[in-house]
Amino acid sequence: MRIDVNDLSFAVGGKRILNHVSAIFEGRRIYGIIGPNGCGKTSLLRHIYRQYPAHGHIRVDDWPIESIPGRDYARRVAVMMQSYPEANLRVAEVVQSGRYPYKRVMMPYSREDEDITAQALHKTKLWELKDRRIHTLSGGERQRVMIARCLAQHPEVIILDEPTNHLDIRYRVELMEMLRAFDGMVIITLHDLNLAARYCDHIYVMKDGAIVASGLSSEVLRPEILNATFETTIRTIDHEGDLFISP
Amino acid sequence: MKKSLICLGLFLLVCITAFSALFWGAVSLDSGEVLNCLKAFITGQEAGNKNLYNLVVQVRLPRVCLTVLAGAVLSVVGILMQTLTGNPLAEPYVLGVSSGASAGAAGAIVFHWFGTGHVVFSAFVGSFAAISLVVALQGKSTNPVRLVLTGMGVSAFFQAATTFIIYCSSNEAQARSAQYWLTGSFSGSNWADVRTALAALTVLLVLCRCIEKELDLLLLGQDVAAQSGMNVRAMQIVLTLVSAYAVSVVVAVSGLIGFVGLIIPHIMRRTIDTSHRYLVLSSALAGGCFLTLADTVARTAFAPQEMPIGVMTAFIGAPIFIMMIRRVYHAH
Repeated sequence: MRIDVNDLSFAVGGKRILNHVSAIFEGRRIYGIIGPNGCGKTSLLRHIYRQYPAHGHIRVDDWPIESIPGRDYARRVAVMMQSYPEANLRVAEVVQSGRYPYKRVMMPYSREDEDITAQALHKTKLWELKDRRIHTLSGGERQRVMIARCLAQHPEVIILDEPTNHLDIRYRVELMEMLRAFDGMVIITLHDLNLAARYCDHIYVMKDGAIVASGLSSEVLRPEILNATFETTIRTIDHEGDLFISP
Repeated sequence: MKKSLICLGLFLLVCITAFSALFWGAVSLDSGEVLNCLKAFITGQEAGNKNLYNLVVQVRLPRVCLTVLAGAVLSVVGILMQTLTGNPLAEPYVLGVSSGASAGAAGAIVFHWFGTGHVVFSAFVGSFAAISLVVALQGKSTNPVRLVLTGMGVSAFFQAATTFIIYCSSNEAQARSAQYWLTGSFSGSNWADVRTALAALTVLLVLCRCIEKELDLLLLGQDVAAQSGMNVRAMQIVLTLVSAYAVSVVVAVSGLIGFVGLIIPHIMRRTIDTSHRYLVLSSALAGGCFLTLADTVARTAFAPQEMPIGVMTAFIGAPIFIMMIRRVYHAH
């Protein structure tokens, strides 16, 4: 699958949020988007997962993104939202609802859907928690439920918006390992530059609504780029081929 | 399996409650006499005692049927509105939808809106206006307390409108019948009302069964539902129209009855399930049972005077509502 963002601009109340953004996402890669708060990362993602209209500036496999019906798009692109359900559903129910795009009206979830749900629960190590209510879970566990839901959706792309915020280091690594194991494309916004360095195959750096750098993590995560982007002094340390970033 | 057994138990409870309610009233009846009347009604035979037959079959039986149906409709509408707004505090009375319906109903009686005899339709226009207003004013906000405050405003407006309409009435009998929309009562229930309410309940239950999956998905939030390929806007319109219709039917046959759609789904969510299949079924049954009990108390406690049923449900519902507000407020 290939997503082409071409000259996308977006403004809210006269304020430019995205300024002529162009980017390409393709293949089985993890794409990281980094940048300071308010740089337009979330807005870019929202255009890609169609919360905001793209007005012809985004094409998916050469089709205008608007031309793809909702369910078809949901079969190809799964989104992990930052919010959690208010309703106190069971873990398995939440994960199973990822099968929704494959169902027509009045068609109940089938045996196959249950099997796929079970696989997703196993992959995310949630099988033992499947009958628990989500309000009884910890933050990291809830995050895993939402990842499992994305996996049950059997998408080609998973989009995540700052999923690692308020997770401790163990859950951050766990999450990134799960994404690395996913057989498809991942588009993720991150604040943690070390995670970006370690897990992302390709990084877009954004500032003031524009992409200011793009490339492999070793090409992009360099002090001169990061200092200009985040307006602070950042050091990078190369330790036996692994890149570490520190203020 | 366990949940379907609970629903079966609730169903039996409804039957028992409804049956026992037939014996209670301003005139206490002997069980043998009531059974004879019911037998005569079912087999279509001539009844021995005409007065007693009329009391049981034309007064008490339709009233009991109507309380069961209205309780079920109010509970299911409560669930639909809670899912529609993503807010456990949503309920036809709390959000002013019932007040909208009673303003419409009072208007139909006093001013003959939409022609004479179109009380349900006029109530529907009122409730649809109220629910659209609440949903529009709520916008994208997910703050549950804000929704309740918006509903209070809408409710106050439509109650004032109802009072105004009653005040405008030149005819005293009309004014009294319009007053009835403000308090809620099942006195004077007849079989035509029962048929109207039965139709509304059937529509609700069939709809819920058809869009079970969509309702469950909406519990994850409108954004998640939209990203899963659901047409959220279309679903909102369907739910709004059907809720407005069901509320207008209940208000047209029984006036303003609050809190049933709040208490029953709240209890069922905690005891049965949060997903819709059994929640809807068990709430419909429990709601029917609850309203029948409440109505029996309302008409017997101060017999031969009748207490408005809205008073009963508010006495029970308001404390639970306040408790829920406190909890939601702290959680937010």
